[in-house]
Formats: sequence, C-alpha cells, structure tokens
Amino acid sequence: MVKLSSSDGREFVVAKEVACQSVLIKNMLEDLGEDSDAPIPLPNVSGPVLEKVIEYATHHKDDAPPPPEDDSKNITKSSEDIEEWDKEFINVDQGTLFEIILAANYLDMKGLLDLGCKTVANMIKGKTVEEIRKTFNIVNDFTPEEEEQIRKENEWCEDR
Amino acid sequence: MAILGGSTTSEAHKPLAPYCDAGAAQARSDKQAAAGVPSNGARRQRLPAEIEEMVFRRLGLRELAACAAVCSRWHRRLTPRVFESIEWLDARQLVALVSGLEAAAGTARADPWAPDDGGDEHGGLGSLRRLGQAPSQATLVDGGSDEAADGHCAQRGSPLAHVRRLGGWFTPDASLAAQAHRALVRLVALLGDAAQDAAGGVGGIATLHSDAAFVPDTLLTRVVSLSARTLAAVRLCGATPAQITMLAATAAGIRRLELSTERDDFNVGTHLRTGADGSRAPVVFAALEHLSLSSTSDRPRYPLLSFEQFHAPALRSLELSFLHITDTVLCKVLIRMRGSLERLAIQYVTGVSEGSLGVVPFLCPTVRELELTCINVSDAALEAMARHTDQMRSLTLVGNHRLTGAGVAAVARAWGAALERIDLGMMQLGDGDVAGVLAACTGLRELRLRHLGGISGAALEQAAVSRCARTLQTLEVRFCGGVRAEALERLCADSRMASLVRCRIVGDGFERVVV
Repeated sequence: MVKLSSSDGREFVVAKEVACQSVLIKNMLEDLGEDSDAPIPLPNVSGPVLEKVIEYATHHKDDAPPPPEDDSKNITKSSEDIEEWDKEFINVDQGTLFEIILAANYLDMKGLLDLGCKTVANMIKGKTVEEIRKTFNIVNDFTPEEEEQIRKENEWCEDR
Repeated sequence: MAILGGSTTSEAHKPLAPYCDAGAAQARSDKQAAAGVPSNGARRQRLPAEIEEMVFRRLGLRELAACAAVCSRWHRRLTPRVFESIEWLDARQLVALVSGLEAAAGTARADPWAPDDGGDEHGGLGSLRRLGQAPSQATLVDGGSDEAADGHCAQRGSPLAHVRRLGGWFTPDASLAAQAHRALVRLVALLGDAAQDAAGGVGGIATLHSDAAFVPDTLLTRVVSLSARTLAAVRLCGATPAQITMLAATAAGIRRLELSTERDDFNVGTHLRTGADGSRAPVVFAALEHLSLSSTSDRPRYPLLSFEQFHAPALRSLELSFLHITDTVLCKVLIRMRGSLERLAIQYVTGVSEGSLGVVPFLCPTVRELELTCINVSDAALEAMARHTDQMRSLTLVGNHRLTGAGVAAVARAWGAALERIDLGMMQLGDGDVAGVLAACTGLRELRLRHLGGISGAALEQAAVSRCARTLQTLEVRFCGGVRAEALERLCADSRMASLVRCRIVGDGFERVVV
C-alpha cells in the first residue's frame, strides 16, 4: 500500500498498482525505495480531486498500458469514443473538471489527461462562438468591429 | 459598409475577464500551489496553455475557427493555425473565403460577384487592378469611422499573413469556373496586401501547388513573387516554359520542384531548356534538391529532351515517372547530374534500353539510392550495374516481372556491404533468393518485401542467422502469401534480432505490427 497526502493534508491509502497509474508517483516510489512509510506529498492536488483521481485509477488499474504515442493526426478522430464509465466519471462541474485535468497533468496520468481533454474538446464541438464563451465563462474582449471582421474572415471554415 | 456603419466606439475595450487575464490568474494559482493552499474554494477558471493546446489538437478546422473568434488571446493563438493551409478548396469554398476576407477588410466592391464583362481572363485581371487601388480608400473609411478599433485591427493584421501552404484548388465545373477564377484573382490580391503589411516579417508561403491550367501565368507570377523569399516547394501541373523560367528567376530558394503534365503531347523536358522567350537563357535553380518530372497521361508520346539550359547544381534527387525517355536523353541527363545526384527513381518509364540502365552507376557514380519501378528491367541490366559500383545504399525493385533471383543476387553480392535498405516487390523470387540477399548484406537496416508470391516464412527465418540480424531495424512484409504472421512474431521474439525496432506484416484480412 502507498500513502498519499493531498494539498489540504488529507491522507489516502491506496494499493501500489493504483498509485502507480501515476507516472510521477511511480517514479517517486522507485526513488524513495519500496519500504518508505512516509506519505507522498501531492501539494498540487486537493483532497476532493485526489479522491476522484483515485477513483479513476482504481477503475483502470487493470488496463493495458497505453500504446506509445503517436502521430497527432489520429487524435482528432478518437474524440467521440469515451467509455460509458468514463463518461459518468467525468460528468462533473467545470471547476472540478479543470482541477482533474490539472491533477492528471501533474501526476502524469495519460489516460485521465486524455479523457479530460476529450471532454473539454467535446464541450467546444458544435457550439457557436457565443456558446463557447458562455460555457467557459470567457469575456469577449473584441470590439464589435473586430468581432464582425473575424466572423467574416473565418466563415469559409464552416464548410470544411 | 452597413456592417461597419453600425459600429460605435463606446464599448471598444471591455475590461478583461479573469480567464483572459493570464498574468493574474497564473500568479494566483502559482501562489496557491506554492503555499499549498487548498484550491477547492477558489476554483481556477482557466487551463494552462499547454493543456489548452491538447484540447485544440482535438478540434477540426471549423471548431478552431470558432475558438479563434472567442477572445483575443485565442485569436492570436489560433489564427495562424486556421490560415496555415489554404489548400484543396472547391470553387464554392474559395468564393466564401475571398468574399469573407474582402468584407472583413472593407474592400468589398458593391458588386463583388456580379458577372462583369464575361471575358474570363480579362475580367480577372481587371479585378486585380481594381483591387490594387482599393486599400488606400478602405483605410480612409476605416480610419475615419473608428480610430481606436482601427488601431487594434491594424495590429491584428491580415490572417493571410499566416498562410504557409497554398494550392490544390479543384478545377471547378464550367458553371463555377468563372466565379472561382475571379475569387482566385482576388485572393492573390489580398495575399499581396497581406505581404505588404507584413513587410520584413516572417510570413510567406512555403509550399505552393497548382494546376496551371486553372491558374494562369499572371496569377502564378504574382503568388511566386509575393513569397519569393520563403517558397521551398512547388508543384505545378502543365507548367509552361515561361512559368519555369519565372520560378527560377524569382524564387531562388526552391528546394523541391515537381512538374507534371496531363497532356500526352506535352514535353516537360522541353520546358526545362527553353527560356520564356525562346532565347535559351540558362534556367538556374541554385538550391534545388529534388526534381520530379511526370506525366499523368497514360500514353506519353514525346521523349523527355535534354536539360541543356537547366542548371541545378545542388540537385540530389531525381524522379522520372510515366514518361517516354530515350537512351540518349537518359545518358545526357545522368552525365549532367553526376557529382550531385544521390537518388534516382525511374518509374513507369518507356523507351530506355537494357544497356542504358546497366550503365547508370557508371554515368552517374554519385547515385547511392536507386529505384526502378515497373520499367521491365532485366537480370542482365542488374548484373551490369553490379559491375560498375559497389556503393549503392538503397535499392528498390518493384514490378519488374522479368527479374529473377539471379539479378538480385548479383547486386546483393556487389553492394552487400553498402546496402542499408532493400525494397523488393512483384517479381519472381523464392525463399532461397531472399536468403541469399540477407546473407550478402552485412549492414542492412531496412527490408521490405511486397507481393512476392514465391516466398514463405522460411525466408524470414534466415534473417536471424544472417549477418544483418544485428543491424536490421525495420522489417515489412506485405501480401507475401506464404508468410504467416506467426513467422514474424517468432522472428521478433528471437534474441538474435537485437536491433529490430519495427515489424509489420500485412496480408489478406490481417495486419500485425510489432514495435
């Protein structure tokens, strides 16, 4: 078992194979040696987020290791195919989603990071510019003229 | 004009949202991270740039374009990507692109698509001239109506400054041809404006490919001169002598040039030696590294003539495809290129005799990579080649049905120490022949076998006991009926194949890749 300590001081005890879904933790364990009892501090991951991350890692602990990457060309295609369990798992409010992505990035968990990015990409797909702003709470900092110009300039992409 | 008329200056600059305020958000989250403060209460609103990048990579052009219109930070970030490649547009898309850009730039005429004088070429050039005068007027209008916005926009610049690849327009059907042509003329004019704005900047088209039947000389000249400093790769179909001379004179940095023709009475070679005015002034491509000449006609009738006035001192790769070439021509070409040419590919070429092929390494001793595809080369020719050099690094022999193991064995014996890459396909080879090649080649890195009906797994097993077992990195077997996937797996698991990095076998209904 491995002890993990979140940024708010909560401790989580998880199986080693679960913890090692994170390449960061795996490397740390290798460096620290097997029998270190001290909890691994994760100052960039809060308790609630770490809980979600562990939930994901537990569910995916038996997955085959991800195939080595890769040409970025293939990524675009695969955005739709999210497993049912993953879909349910990542169905969280946007703040949490972003926190999970950041944690996955920090902990170096490729599968979870992919899932997060896919989810954000899917939130963009099929939306108008205004809807994207609303979704991500982005303020339009263009002047009306600029906005109109950009809309016209980019219109040709609609067909592609 | 109605669009611009509706604008006001009152809300020109809204305060930036936390999302867009990179500095503050970053500083705050850094502080949180450093202090180990729980970030749960104050959720961060924004993903760091590298994660946004992972998201953008999953989006198509249409979504990227939408994102580019969301806020100025994303606009700066994504516009180069949206406009990087203006390729493979059909007539309708081309018209949409150009009319949108013109409307955005405020240069749209009152009657942008009204069929004017009907005369296609002249109509187009007329538009070009009109557009040439347009910017000064447009600037006045914009400047007068909204100075603040204008300043902001000027900073933004034309998105066309980001175009790096241009071309591949579909030749439109007749009803759209005139429209598409006019759109193209206008696009080129807009590119000119963009280049002028970005003068001294880094912008510029690097890759241009066009069907010259659709893009007339004047337009091509304009595009090339706009990107004279950046143009590195050009593909032209049906290029005229004038176009080639112009290319050489204008864009000195071209490294790849591909010329093709659809017409069976069109002679690509002629155009390489005749100047625009027939004066036979030398055509010099100082930086050219790769030249490809081909005909898409299925019966090219005229021989490729000599490269008399064509100078490409840095040329290292020459591809001749679907052409009719005589011995004399091939001989002259090779002698001209000796010294620089390292790669020669002759594909689907007619008119060259056995004897001429046999002396290729003699005429051009610098050639290290040779590809002979579907030119019916014989064992005798390979045996002759083997006598003239021992330096060949790469050999591709595909679709030469007369070839047998004897010819292949002869070159393998002669070049065995130098050969790093072998690609054999569609010929009469058996297991013994492949084993012989493997035994002779001591430094082989890459082996590809395709459509060889006569070989079985036994051929591959030889790889493990041959001297190239320690050097072979890539092995690919495609549609060799007798070779099963298991044979490949056994080979990959063999500890003697120490350097094997990538294995691939493809057959009827199966594909296996071992990395």
